[in-house]
Amino acid sequence: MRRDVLAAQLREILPPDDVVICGLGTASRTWRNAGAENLCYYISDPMGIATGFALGFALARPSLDVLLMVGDGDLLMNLGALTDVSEAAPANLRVVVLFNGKYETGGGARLAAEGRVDFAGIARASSFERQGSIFRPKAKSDVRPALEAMRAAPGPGLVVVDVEPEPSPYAPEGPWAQVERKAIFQHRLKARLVERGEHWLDPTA
Amino acid sequence: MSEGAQEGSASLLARHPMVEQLVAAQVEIATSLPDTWLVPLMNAIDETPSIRHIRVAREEDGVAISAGASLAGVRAVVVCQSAGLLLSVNALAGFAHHHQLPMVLVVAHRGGLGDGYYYHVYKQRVATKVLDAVGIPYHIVASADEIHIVGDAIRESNLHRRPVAVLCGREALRGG
Repeated sequence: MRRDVLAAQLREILPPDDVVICGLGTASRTWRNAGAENLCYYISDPMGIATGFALGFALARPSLDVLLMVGDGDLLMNLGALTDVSEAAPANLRVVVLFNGKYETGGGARLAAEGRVDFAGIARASSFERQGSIFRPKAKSDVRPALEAMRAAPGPGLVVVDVEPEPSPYAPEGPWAQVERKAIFQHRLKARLVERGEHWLDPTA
Repeated sequence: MSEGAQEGSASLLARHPMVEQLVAAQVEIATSLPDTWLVPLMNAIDETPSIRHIRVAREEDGVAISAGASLAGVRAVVVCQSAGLLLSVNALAGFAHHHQLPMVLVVAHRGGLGDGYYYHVYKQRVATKVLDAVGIPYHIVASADEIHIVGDAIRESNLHRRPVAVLCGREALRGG
């Protein structure tokens, strides 16, 4: 399916309070273009750390539901992180993998073992599914029910979605550097947490 | 927590002052990948109710988890050997300079005088040079009476919004 269709479905399914974390490249551009209102952090670099990063965020804030959107190239760079997710088993973390076997941002070069890596199988073999759920919809019509089922169930959850390769060049730099985006995100997150009565530890506390 | 568990936890904290530093600094998450020098510290963290201890498959994951926790306003540390520090350099550089997210790495600084294993030697030779090259501050904690540096490093990391490494000798990691 096209990436924008997947993003539109996710935007409809996710409650507005879910926090979205996006891996670099196509995953970020796809979600950014969806125009969803969810609080979102676009990780940018380094590549390969998205799963661990989202896991840390989810563990730190168990009251928040967290969705990681990540490309297959990003995830492939560090498959062992799925074992870390299995180790921690956070009920509030769910992952959507955009699968097409290409490094789209880099010009569309193919991944190692292009299209043959079974991420759902690896997650399953990592005991990811101890308390969560794993879905690998094959038909386009199965994607939305899989996303809905994953969101409805306790985490950790994983859905691997076949997305059509599309040209996805680097976007022009926006007005904010990463450290500025981080500050904006933290400001909004802190306001939400404080409103809910949760503690926020300032760096100089 | 039962009185017995409280007493057990308190005695473990007393036996390992490095954990006392982590608790005082309000660290809530610790990630680890073991080395023989790190086992006493990891066991003490296991017995510390205020710290969630996550075993990771690769030290870089610990760095990533700590960064995610830091974004969420929670303090985290990475406990690893110097080999894990070295393989995490790109992640550390990204979190230091691109994101500016704080975290502390408590590192078993292998390969020094008296370590006795040839395969650790290169790590002692390159670790500090690599940290200098990527702009990550570090401190050496050789003995138990320098353990307070761990707490100081956590404060430094948060003030600077950057990772800081604490390179620890065997005696310090034993807790004295």
